Amino acid sequence: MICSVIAAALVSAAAQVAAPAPAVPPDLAEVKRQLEELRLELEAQRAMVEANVAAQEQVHKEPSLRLYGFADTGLQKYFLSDRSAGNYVLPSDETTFVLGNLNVYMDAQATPDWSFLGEIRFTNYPNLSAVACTPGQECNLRTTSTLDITNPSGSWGEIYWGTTIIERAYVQWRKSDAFTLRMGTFLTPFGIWNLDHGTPTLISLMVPQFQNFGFFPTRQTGFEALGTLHGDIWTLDYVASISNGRGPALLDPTNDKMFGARLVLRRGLPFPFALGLSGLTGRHSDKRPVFISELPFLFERRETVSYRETTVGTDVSLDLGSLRLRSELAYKVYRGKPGQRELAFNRPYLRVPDHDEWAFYLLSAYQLPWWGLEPFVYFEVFRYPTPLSDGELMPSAGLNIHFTPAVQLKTQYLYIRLVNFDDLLGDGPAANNVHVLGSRLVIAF
Amino acid sequence: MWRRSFVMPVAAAWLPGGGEILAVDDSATAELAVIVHPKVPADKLTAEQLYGIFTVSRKDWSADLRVVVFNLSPDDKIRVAFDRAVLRMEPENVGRFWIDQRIRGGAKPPRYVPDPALVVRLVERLPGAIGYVPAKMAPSSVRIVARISQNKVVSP
Repeated sequence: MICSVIAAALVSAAAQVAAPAPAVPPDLAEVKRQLEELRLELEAQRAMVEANVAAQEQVHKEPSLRLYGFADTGLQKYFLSDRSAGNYVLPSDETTFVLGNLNVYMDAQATPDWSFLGEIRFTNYPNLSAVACTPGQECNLRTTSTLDITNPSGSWGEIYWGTTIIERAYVQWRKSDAFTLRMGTFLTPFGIWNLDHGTPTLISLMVPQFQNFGFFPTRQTGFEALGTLHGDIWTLDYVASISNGRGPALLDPTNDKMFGARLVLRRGLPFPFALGLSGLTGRHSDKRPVFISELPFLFERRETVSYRETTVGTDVSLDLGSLRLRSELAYKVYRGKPGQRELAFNRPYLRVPDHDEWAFYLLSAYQLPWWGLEPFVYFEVFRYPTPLSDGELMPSAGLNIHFTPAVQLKTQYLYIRLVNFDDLLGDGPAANNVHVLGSRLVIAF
Repeated sequence: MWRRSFVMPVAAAWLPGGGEILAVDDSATAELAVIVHPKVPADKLTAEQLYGIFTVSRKDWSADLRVVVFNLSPDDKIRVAFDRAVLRMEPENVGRFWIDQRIRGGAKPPRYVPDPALVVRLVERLPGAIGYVPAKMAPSSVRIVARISQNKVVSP
């Protein structure tokens, strides 16, 4: 289609060029005017064809796949006490360089209505993660070490193979602004951070701890209906989801589904403001096959973990010129099934009791008029009862330096203070307090 | 003296557009016209509606007519003036806005064309099209749905 239109325009232009020369030498300015007219005509034709590609049905003949993404790398240091529980989950508390994210998006517009978005994170995981620990003994760490046996120079080289994480992958059908359907794996529409999602977009380097601790599943596999309703001044976004719930998102071991919803009331003028409400409820289950007998050869599936979780939250975003404010309040009710409670800290004798969790944070960032500097302060309180403490208080501060819209350096200091809420000022479980210094050079591409 | 060197930039940064809203002021950007194809079912658009359209939050004019937005190049001074008045953003903020949208998996930015004359031709011919040009360039074959004057969106 593009070729035919451009070819027709070129033929038309050629015909004009091939026309008999006028008896009087043409005025140079007039020729320039005509050439400019032709150039505009050609560009208009081309742009119209491209616009039509986005608006008409011939798109399927010219599918487009766009690749883009982001990456970040930096330096970090954790400060832990010698016997902190953090030594179990953090393989290093030394000053170390880090390759954080390498995320590639695959964005395909198959037709004006149908599209696909995939996001893959490439990592070196699962290397260095602890798998099992016995008191008094060293913990085992996962490794993917192997020899590079196809190397033509000899297979002596040791390599560590890594893995990929499917951050999201969904097929989308758009009917209108008010109604779109998605099916596949999507980021859970809860609060601000999970949808902002990437280091180029997030204000602080470190995500809120309540999200880090799995207050809700980061992603789910299922079905989403979403849309935007426009008012004169306000706009209402909605998302409703049904999914397998938590887990590796391969299959749901039960027929119980997780249901979720999110509403966002927002406006862009005179300053961007958004008020969000999110909710999720579902039953998480884990079933394991049990070998019953060899003859007859019989298996059955037995439920080993079962609990119900209901989570609600509200969030506010406000941009006042150079000032950015973000805040969230979230509450979660966790109820396990007796005899099928999940393990705590992966210890066979520790089970997660029924409990409520809640979290609140406030973040304030200010874009200074010099050198792209954006300092921010952050405070979070998170009730997360464990054998270690009732919860955590987390003051934090950081500085972002925006070199360009696509490149920035993010730095942050975070203090995680474990507390018992009836004794906030006491020493409490101080052995597990953590100081973190982190930085990432972030690029979007 | 310190107040001038420190307080003024800080105060300016609080203003929408970083306080540089008067920096672009020549004949090309003195008054802009937001133009649409005659089939677009709108006689005038408010600042909020323009914000929704040019941030690609609003993608439909009606059930069977989609919005086709034409922008000018990011460094075009007409575009800069338009973004300051309608989006209340400086060019760098606009760049970050669209990167944020991309990372979130949100809307893609409007396509841009190199000069306003081309915007006029496209809007004239393509149903659903909307763009902006210096007011004196707007022909009678398109409909003016808003004007940008003195950094404000005003009625046509």
